Amino acid sequence: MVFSSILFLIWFVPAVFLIYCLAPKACRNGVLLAASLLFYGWSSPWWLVLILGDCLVGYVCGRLIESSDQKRRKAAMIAGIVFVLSLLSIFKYWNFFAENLYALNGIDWLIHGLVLPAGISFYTFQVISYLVDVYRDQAPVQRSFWRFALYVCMFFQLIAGPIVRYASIEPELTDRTLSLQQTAEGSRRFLCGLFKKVLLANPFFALAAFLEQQADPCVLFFWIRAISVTMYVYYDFSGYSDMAIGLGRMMGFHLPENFNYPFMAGSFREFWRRWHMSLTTWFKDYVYIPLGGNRKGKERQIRNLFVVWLLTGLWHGAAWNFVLWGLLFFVLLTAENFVIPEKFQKSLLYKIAVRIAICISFVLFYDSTLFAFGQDLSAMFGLAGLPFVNGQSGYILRSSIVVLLLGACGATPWPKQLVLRMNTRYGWFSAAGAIASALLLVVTISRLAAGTYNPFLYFQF
Amino acid sequence: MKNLETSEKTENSSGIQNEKNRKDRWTSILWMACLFGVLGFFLAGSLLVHPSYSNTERRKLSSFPEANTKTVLDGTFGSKIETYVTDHLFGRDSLLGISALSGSLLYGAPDQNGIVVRDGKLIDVQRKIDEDSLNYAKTLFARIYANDLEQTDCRLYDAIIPDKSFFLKTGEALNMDYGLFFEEAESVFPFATEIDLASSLSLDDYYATDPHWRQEAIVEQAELIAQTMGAAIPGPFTEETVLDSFTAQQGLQSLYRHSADALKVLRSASMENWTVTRYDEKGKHEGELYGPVQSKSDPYSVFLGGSAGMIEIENPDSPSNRELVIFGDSYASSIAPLLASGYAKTTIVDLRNLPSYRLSSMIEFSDQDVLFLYSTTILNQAKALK
Repeated sequence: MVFSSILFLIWFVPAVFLIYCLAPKACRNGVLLAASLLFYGWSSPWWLVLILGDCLVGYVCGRLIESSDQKRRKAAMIAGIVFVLSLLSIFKYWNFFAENLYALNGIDWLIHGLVLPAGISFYTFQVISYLVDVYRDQAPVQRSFWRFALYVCMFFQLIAGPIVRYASIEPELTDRTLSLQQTAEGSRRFLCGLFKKVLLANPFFALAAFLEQQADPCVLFFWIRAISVTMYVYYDFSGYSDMAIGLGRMMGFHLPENFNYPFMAGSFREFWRRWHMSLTTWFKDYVYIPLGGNRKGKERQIRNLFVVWLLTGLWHGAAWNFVLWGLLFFVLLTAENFVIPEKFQKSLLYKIAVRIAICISFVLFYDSTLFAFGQDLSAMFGLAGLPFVNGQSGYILRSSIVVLLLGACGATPWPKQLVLRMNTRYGWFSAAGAIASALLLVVTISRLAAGTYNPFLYFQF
Repeated sequence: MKNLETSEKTENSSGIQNEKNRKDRWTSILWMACLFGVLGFFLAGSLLVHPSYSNTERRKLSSFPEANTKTVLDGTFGSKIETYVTDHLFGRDSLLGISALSGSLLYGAPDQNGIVVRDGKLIDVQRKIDEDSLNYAKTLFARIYANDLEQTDCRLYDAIIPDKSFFLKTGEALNMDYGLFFEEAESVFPFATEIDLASSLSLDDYYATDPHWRQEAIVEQAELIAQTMGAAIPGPFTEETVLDSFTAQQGLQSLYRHSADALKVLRSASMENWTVTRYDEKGKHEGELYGPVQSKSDPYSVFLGGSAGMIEIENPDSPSNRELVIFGDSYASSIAPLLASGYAKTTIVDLRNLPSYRLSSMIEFSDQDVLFLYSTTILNQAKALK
């Protein structure tokens, strides 16, 4: 079940929210867990075995860490991490390595029919962070299995994050309040995410697909496609994060922010401080710093960066383009840290170059094969012998200009700032915003009813 | 005095705070009402109204899926429920119109859900050549040729019908490269003699709001096909209007201004004596050359009573004893009555409904004329053919 489906929007959300609000406080966790398991098992009930297996192992290892001596604590933590990473490795990476092994020496270790369970990378990382935090005494152990299962399975962040750290949500698993204002705030955020997904991400996806279908392409098409792909990934993922945060807020949870206008960043470092923040901080806290971070000299730091970005690429998908995507950012960040002069980094030229490089990186991220990426890249830089524009460019520009402008504008903080200013200045503005949102919701539902393409990209991670 | 001022200030500030809280509360209530009002409206409507047919899409809506251990565990129940609730969303027909309009209003799109208008005709722009589909068609028809036709004396012909998008100019809308498509589509039937229909057709020969060609406008094309096959089409035909105002699916889903067509059929004196036999889900039974226009079905299915796995037309007044077999799609059902005028027996096979492995048990191929008559739309979605 995806957030932007009629089933979820019209049936699941109102029903779960109503039951949740009517249920006695003591039963709310139960309602939420049942809804989460229904949500997750909807497409494939077998996935429940995996996630509940992870929950059970995470819970038992957490309890062992709490009650054992130092040596056993470490063993329990390692055992838990090995278990959840083994499941992730089998379901996500086995066939990738088997395919490459087969290509190299013909040994067939492929497991046919192996399906990647949705969201496995997200909940695996949540269980790992819990075990490590409990081991480091940075978080209290959870003594209730059901509460721990709820932490791992909460339907609003289960499939595509944000990756929630146990310590940040632990008090709310036990005691949280529901208020009208908080619920309204959550619903605003949920709608904002839904509009981002259906009214921006989907049209960008359609635009990219539309451009891929052109029999008579030109250089301009490839650049518009690159921007469309970048915007699609951004609105798709940040839209999902907004919906998750909004639904969490409606149910009394405060989930961490995941995006902070990443395209406002003028450097690669800043970009990654604003893009998928929950993943970036996870890798920083659980990989980069334990490896030594930047404390043990330049060479160790470069090695640590390499490991982190290799894993970041692999986390996004078991394919060479994701691996190269991660390594591309390793190269760019290393260059930014050690090679490119700071003075140049402050120039406008560098800020433009950063955005172009990010845009190209998302073409690599999005393309299905490295060969396709090579073709796209050569076309973008005029190496494929295509004209810059052709007879159909006018039609393409007319078709895409509004969505491109809306997308560019929405990627800045300016619309939000404008809304806040208008809210302060005009008393009626908030009410008008609610009514406009209701109308946009009808439009959104109409586009979902019309069968607009709308799977979430990040589900595959 | 100072204490009094401070107390007044505190009272004022608490008054402002109270006012702000009150305003926030009302705004929150309004937001919640808007969100759950809209969702609740559609939820209540979907609970109360259960249509089984979509007028704008001219199709039966999906029925509630079967729930058993197998379908639940393999996830098909879950995915079918998603289709079911989307199909049965309250106000679905109106929402399709809103969706089309929003494309133009929000994004300034020059098309509505992929439909453009030209000369009052709504055109579903075909954008991409589906190579997989064409390869599938090549394999399928090569197998039919090898299994059923190669060892016979049948004379084989093929004609490809362009859809309306073919008539758009480059830059007017981004339609697919039809030159390339026709080139590739021809290689689907390497064993057949090609009959070129595209050069004699124009957009006027099609309905305004339906993708099909108009029967009354394609007599010339029927004659061309018959002539190539060495047959004749004895006329004359007279036009009969069976529906004055025919607005088809493209028109019902689009907010473009367009006009309705008259749905006409062509009749000849000899047609009264023809026998039509249908082979469909009801088994073998008598059919009609032109069925009645029914309220809950596609008016275009007036031709031969709509699609069926196989339809036979026997014409006792035929000028010859020759037989014709047409492998075709819905476009074929309107031209088939014209071609049948020149043959003693005409068999129309729709591979969407009749799997090709059953051909040998249904038709004895010997020395018939065999015509492969497919639209570009179907060849580009050939996986529907079995």
